[in-house]
Amino acid sequence: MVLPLSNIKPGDTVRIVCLANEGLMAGRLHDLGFEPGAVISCVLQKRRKNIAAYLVRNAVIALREEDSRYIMVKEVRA
Amino acid sequence: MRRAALVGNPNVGKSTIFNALTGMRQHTGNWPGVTVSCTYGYFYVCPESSVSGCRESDRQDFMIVDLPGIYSFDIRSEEEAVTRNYILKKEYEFLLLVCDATCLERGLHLLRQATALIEDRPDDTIPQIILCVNLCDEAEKKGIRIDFEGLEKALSIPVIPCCARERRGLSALKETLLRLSGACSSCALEDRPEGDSHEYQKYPPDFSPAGLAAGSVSYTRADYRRREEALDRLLTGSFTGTFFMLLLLTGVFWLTITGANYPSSMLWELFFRLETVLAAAAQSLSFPSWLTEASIFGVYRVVAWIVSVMLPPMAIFFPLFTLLEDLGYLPRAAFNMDGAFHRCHACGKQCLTMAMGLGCNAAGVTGCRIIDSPRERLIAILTNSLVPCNGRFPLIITMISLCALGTSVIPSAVSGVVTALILTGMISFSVLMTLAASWFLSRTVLKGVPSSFTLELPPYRKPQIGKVLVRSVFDRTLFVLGRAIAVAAPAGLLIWILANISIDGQSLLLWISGALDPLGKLMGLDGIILMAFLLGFPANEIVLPVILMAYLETGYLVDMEDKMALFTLLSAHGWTVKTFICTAVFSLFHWPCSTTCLTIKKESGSLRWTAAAMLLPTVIGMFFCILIEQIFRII
Repeated sequence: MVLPLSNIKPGDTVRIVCLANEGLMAGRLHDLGFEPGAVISCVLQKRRKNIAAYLVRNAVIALREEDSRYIMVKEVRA
Repeated sequence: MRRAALVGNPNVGKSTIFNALTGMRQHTGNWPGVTVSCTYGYFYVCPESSVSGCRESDRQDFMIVDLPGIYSFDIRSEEEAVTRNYILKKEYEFLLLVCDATCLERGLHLLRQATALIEDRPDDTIPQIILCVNLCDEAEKKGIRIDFEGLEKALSIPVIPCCARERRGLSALKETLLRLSGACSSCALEDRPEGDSHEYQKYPPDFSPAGLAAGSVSYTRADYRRREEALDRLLTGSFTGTFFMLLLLTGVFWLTITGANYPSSMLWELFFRLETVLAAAAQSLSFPSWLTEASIFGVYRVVAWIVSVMLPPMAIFFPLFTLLEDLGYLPRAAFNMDGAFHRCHACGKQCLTMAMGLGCNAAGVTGCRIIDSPRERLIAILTNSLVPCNGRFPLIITMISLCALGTSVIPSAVSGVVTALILTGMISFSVLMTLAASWFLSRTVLKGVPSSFTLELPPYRKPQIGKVLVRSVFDRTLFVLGRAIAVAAPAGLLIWILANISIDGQSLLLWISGALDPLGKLMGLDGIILMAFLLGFPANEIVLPVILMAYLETGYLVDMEDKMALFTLLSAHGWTVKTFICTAVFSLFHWPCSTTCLTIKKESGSLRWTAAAMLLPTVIGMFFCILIEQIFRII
């Protein structure tokens, strides 16, 4: 099932399907390794869910919810 | 002279390599974006044969440039523009691409982009790329193994594992530089010495970063991130995150306040002994008594006071703060505070620049370059001086402890803890004001919605305690102290002159303080205090000494070791609990120091915004001082 990255919980590992971010952010995310096919996992999330941190290319990157909801992901069976 | 450029992702230790090679002391810290501009440095390498002593004719000189860290060569931020421009346009023989051993893949992506960029250069200006894999010790600790030989074979460029913090691998880097610069003197690859097994190319052939990383990195421990994740959960949890943030802040303040007491009294004693010697010397040289009094009991005592009261808290607070920075705590704090900044339509990274402001507001303002959106950067610049810098802490601490002393409701045994708690409260208040001001700005003059940003949470690193201590004492504290004394001495002279020139039977000092008095009184202060804040424009550290100098025109400090003496003196000039509170509040919120103002002018490029940055904290400070005065009047 495809769902936005903002919906996944800490501990979940997912594969990116596509990104719909716009402008500079699209490029910035691509630079960091948020690209279709990449396997990433959520490591931290604030209770209000406004910001969460993801392990991507072995680095921890925090994104606000309004950015991560444009990243569509698919769950990976561990 | 050969030229080399250092590029790499943010926070991979480019500046550490730069410092280790050149012996310079560029600021480093464990969060991305510490280096915001290019820094040049020089070093030389001696041939192996002449280990002991190296003639100038034998050695090879290098010029090296430390470029801001980037995630890619596509221009999306100022740092990327600076770095890309340098890589494309400038002439240099070596491109040192630094990457983090714990996330090699990212470095390889950058390497691939760098290759594409330099391929387009004219053939004879193509630099030799060298891949430095830094932070190898951290990778080892996490059980990450990298096949360096395989990597070198696949890339056909020199690959050098190193750990710049412990200076490991640097000699290999220097040797490689030396060897390759010899080969490059005729710039023909055939000239390589015989027996050299490495067939280096100037840049790697096309490769897949993900594939190469997967092929050369092996993880021997599956749970290598477990400790880090547990610590992260603790430090960013919804309740524990705030708790640890306040605990760390209070702890740092407590250490600063309690730790400063002993060296303070020791220093004061030392200065007092020296004073006796000086006074005796002045007497034996038969100085006129007014000169002795003015210079020794006036200026000398005040300078001694600045050193003994200001130096210890600054010398303790700054290294402690730097330790937190080295540890990698600041990005976690930014992660915690992001919700609040988000609601104020500001960038989450503003928390980082705000924290930098605790050390020095000018550094905090420069640090605002890490914020990409111009609107949000301006908000961060304008509100930066709402948090007190290192130079303002001693005054605030003195005000709090004198206030506690005067009201004597707090038993002295816990006064250190209580003072630290009150100080934490005041800092929380200034953070609150930062948020309120950001909220106000983003709804009025700097309207807009929060833009996208990414915040990297770097791995925790063990701080280098010794290095931090030496660096912050010598590079920061002594510099700031020197500036304070350099400003305090002329300020003292000015006050002496003002006090001794009379117009219409009243000294100029009285005229000026009289003119400022109504405004001062309205704010719960007096004319002298306001004047001291004005004179403190070049250096905030001198505010209290100037107040003392001005009060002491008719007498001088007798025994400064005893805080009660200071309290008695200030009380004699009409200070009450209200005055202490208002002075502390105004010291928290008033115009930034001249260095910060110049930095704001440079960073914002506009006099109008600089004026706004001065006005904003001043208006807030005046508002609260007047409010406090009114409250005290009612009760």
